[in-house]
Amino acid sequence: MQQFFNSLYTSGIGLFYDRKSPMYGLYKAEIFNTTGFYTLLTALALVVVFYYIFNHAIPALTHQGLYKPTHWLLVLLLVAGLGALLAYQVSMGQGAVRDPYMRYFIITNTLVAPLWFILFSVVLKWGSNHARRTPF
Amino acid sequence: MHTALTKALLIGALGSTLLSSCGEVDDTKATADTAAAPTKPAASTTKSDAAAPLQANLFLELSGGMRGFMPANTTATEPTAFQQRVSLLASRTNSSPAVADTKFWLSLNKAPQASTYAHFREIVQGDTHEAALGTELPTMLENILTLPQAANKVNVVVSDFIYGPKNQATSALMNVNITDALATVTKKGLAVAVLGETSKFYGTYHPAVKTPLKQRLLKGETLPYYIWVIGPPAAVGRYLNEVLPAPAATTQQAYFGLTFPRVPYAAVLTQVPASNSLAPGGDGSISYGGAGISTNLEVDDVKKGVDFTVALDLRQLPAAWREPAFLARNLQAQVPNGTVKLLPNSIKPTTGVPELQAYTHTLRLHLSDFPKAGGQLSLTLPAPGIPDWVAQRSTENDNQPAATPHTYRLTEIMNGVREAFPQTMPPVFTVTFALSQ
Repeated sequence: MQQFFNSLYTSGIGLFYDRKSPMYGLYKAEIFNTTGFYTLLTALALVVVFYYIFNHAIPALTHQGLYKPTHWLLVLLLVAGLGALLAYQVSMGQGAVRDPYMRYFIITNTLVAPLWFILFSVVLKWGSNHARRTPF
Repeated sequence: MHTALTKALLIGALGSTLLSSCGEVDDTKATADTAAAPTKPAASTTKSDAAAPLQANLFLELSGGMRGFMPANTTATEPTAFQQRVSLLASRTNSSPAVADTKFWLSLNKAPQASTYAHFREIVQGDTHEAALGTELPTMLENILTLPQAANKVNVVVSDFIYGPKNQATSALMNVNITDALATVTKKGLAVAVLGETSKFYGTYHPAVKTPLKQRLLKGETLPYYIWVIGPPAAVGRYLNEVLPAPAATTQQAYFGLTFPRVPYAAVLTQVPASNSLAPGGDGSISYGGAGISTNLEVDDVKKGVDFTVALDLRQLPAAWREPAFLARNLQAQVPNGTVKLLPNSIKPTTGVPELQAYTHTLRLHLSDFPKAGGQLSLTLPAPGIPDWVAQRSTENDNQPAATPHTYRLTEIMNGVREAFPQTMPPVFTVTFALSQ
């Protein structure tokens, strides 16, 4: 899994920035993996919350009618924001310094997080009572 | 039905991510293991050094020819440089915490004669009436090295090292005679340090070459004398740095057989802020292979060129070998099948860089190529040969003291010392980095 996250983020950041940080070893050993897992779990959790808590299991919430694509898009933006925050927090927590590489890592994770969200949405939306056709 | 479909899709999605991750080589374990390695040896060497105090023998050649270095002073005269330096040397050897036990000896015409510190000091201060006929240099060295335990001790020899063979025929083989005298050094793998000093001389001078005059009465002319330190390499290294009074600017230095297997070093990548001139530069990128500071370096776009700094702790080396100019001439950076070069004028002391206090020197390398499969970067200080000052101080006729101090056939003597060591001497130190791209 670590190798997967390392390849994902290394090539992801490589799209924006062709240099590497002197901290790259730390990113590979700790930061990519931790951030990757947290981001994946966050996206999954919010998909579950959107499809199975708000629009499925709890009638009181389901009756709010929060199944429209706009609502879904708002959650997607929330996931993107959380992705950025996670990337920043994990990097700083591991002792990386603020350099351009960290900036592009945050940007990359801001894009990776919604991708997970979309993927899990497509996979899991069919089980939801009210939102199985959100966003399409 | 929905849930079954969901499950299947979920498993499929997770399965594919897992599969994609399994195909690649897991190198994280290897890098994590090596990450902590380089800091450990440094700590253990300082510990073992501290645990083994030195044993020292201090020899003073007390021949008629040495008396002039040690005149009896009055309140109106100033002691000679020899008296100042040798008494400080004896005092420090006697009292240094690094030396557990010091024996003082007088090299008279036969075997060295045991003495005491007080007596030794009196002699250096001018009480030289015991002086005997000079000993031939090889005999003196042989006698010193055959003392019990000599090969395990630091042997410090103070002498003018004037070698005038009685049998003139042997003078053609001076170097061989010296090498033979140093057989113990060769056999036991000892190190030899030669420090060339000068001092004013008041008294009878006995040159090696007896024409035109057999002896001369000198009144304050400057003559050379030498301090030799012979012993196990680690002990000699410590003695030079911790006990011997710091060499003066005029002190000439030559060292043979000194090697330092553990020189602490590191690549300076994350220790300093990116704005610092010691931070990595160039169009490529370089980083540690793992999470911590390590000797595994990962380089990206090496063809574009990467500049980075290496910090070295050369505290163990003798003073002459710590000179940035000397290092710049002699240090060699190499990557097999690659291109690396030591940037000119980049060797500097680390003063004023708080992050690198554990190191004494920094130097900058420009790496521009190494094999795709990985490489090894090594930074080596090859063992220096006989330094240039030896030839300048050597003379074929020492009968007339000159303005620049001369010693009779010093080149031959030093060739003899050099020949006591293997043809190719091991490097003084080598530091290596594993490179990958």
